[in-house]
Amino acid sequence: MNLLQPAKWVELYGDYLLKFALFRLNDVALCEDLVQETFLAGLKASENFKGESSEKTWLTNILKNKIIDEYRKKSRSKITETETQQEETDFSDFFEKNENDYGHWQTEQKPIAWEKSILDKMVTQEYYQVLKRCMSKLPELQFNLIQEKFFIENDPKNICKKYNITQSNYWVMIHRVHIVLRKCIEINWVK
Amino acid sequence: MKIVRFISISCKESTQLSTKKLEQKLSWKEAILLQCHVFICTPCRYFQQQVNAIHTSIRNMISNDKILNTKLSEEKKIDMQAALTKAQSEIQTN
Repeated sequence: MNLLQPAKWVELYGDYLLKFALFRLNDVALCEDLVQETFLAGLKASENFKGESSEKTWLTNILKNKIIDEYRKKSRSKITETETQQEETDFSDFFEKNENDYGHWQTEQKPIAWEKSILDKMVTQEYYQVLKRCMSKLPELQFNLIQEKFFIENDPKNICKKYNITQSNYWVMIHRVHIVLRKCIEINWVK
Repeated sequence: MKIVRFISISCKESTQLSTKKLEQKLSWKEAILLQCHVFICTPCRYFQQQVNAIHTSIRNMISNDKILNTKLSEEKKIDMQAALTKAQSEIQTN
């Protein structure tokens, strides 16, 4: 218990945790509630805190689980849909796969041109909504990688260690994220 | 045909390299293979351009978006602090 300083949590980590939650969920009120729940859960579980990670990391992990629960609650069907995707790392849903083939795009997966006007609008709130929605559809682990990379600005080596994956595995997943995200944005934003 | 195979890469490989290029410097061989591929392959050229744009847009979103400017309101902080103190004293009395 003396390892933790719950009295200072709100001041020290409140804003950070709120931002962390908002990166995934767009609802400010909901995110505030989750942050509060995180603090209370942290307090209850304080005996489990062994000081192996920082207080901040520890609380962030609790929040992360709360966010995942929130997604489960929101749409069970969506979660199962993305969980089945998790295994698809052979990319055969995007690229042709037969002996004589050199891995060309599946006809319906070929990227189409995005007009300059579309590229220019990639700084608007409407676009960010689409981007977030597309990111939230990613499988759990892939989303975490993106969050680590962009939000926490962790480098690939550390990310691999943290999630216990190999470098090549990391690249396969990031590759997949790019393909899937691009397609999702094309469908929901460009067309 | 073998020589063509040797110096050319597939669309799948080209998108792999486009991805890699966003995070680290490619080797000269990789860079040339990618350049040659996107020169002749329109979909992969689009892919490279668009993935770059998406990458930039995520960075922009994080730095410009209201996310970064959103903070807990003072009232909310007081609420939270009160809830925490209450829970803490409950734990201590038990």
